[in-house]
Amino acid sequence: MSVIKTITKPLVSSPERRLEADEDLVIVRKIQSGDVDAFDSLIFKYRERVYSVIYNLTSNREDASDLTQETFIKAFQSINRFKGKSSFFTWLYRISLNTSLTYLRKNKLRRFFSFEKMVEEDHTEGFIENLRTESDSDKAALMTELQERLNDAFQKLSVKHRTVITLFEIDGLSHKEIADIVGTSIGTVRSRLHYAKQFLQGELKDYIR
Amino acid sequence: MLFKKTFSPKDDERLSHLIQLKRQEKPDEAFWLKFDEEIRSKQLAALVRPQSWYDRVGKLSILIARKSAAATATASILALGIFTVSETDYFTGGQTTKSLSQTEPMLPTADDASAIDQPIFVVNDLHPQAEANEVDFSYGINATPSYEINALTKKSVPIDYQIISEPKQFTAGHINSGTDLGAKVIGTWSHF
Repeated sequence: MSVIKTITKPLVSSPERRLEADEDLVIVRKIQSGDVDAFDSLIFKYRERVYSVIYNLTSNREDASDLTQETFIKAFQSINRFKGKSSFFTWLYRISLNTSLTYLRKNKLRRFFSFEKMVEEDHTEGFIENLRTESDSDKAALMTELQERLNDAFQKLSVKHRTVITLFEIDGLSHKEIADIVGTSIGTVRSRLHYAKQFLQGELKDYIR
Repeated sequence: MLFKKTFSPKDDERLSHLIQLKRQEKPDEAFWLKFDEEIRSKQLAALVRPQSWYDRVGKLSILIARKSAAATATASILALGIFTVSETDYFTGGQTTKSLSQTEPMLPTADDASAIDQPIFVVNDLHPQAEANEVDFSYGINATPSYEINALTKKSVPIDYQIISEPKQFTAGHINSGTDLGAKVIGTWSHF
């Protein structure tokens, strides 16, 4: 029962979100009344965020680009079915998640790396401190390396846990917002988040301590 | 398991900062230019995308129903018309039977039936019939009585006859005017 309530309640957890949702709804109504060009503004507004979510779920730039486009096309095609029960943002995120999950299931792109191999590699402590002291070119190299390690660690998580940690830590959404998007309870979101953090702390301990 | 090891709140904070480094993984402007171009063409393709088979079947059904509506209506009207025409004898026949019951003296006998190919007349007194126990003087002795005649034709011998013309009126003394309607006068009565 509580899950159903969570899903059907509009996602307006802050005044900013409410304002954003209202603005989006005006644009959506325009599109629904035939002004298809108005959809461009929604693409421009959300393309980076949607891409970020999909990229962090798939860890593949090219696929993330295609899936982001697919997300917007799906939203465009079904915009007339959007009734405004949730915010456009929530609705769009659900589409992007479903698109990503379908893709991941179809392509089985979850890469699992050998933990032993990672331990053998020489990742010295104080990695982040090095980022501050190294030259720009070295910084870029270290950043690339860190990003790769992060991506690898992310790919070891299950899709459910990866989704929750992506939406919380990278996209900055609240527990409630994530629950609305994923379609689960806030408690489940917290539980998945806790598990995912524990796992990543273990995976990235060389960079943390 | 490695991840079951406990971590301090500071570790948790550092992990969050580490993960948030992924926010820096943003595509450059060239990526978005290409993205916009591709999504535009996909959007246009979506606007003219072929319909799914069930959409097409549904729309085809509606189209067929619309196209055949006129034909169906015409056929229905024709069928109704044919039915009405074919059943006309039945309806008017029923009414005639009642009229005949009021004009029993005019009914031909079975012997006459073969001779009654031509129309005959039923004559009705247009003046109201007086009740049995009272005398009606409303039109007086010298008043000219008016009558109404109907042309009849044989439907089935010996009892069913059908009215085939609108009632005609004439006055007494000019009874032969009934023959103007093409009928054969088979009898006259002075009182109705």
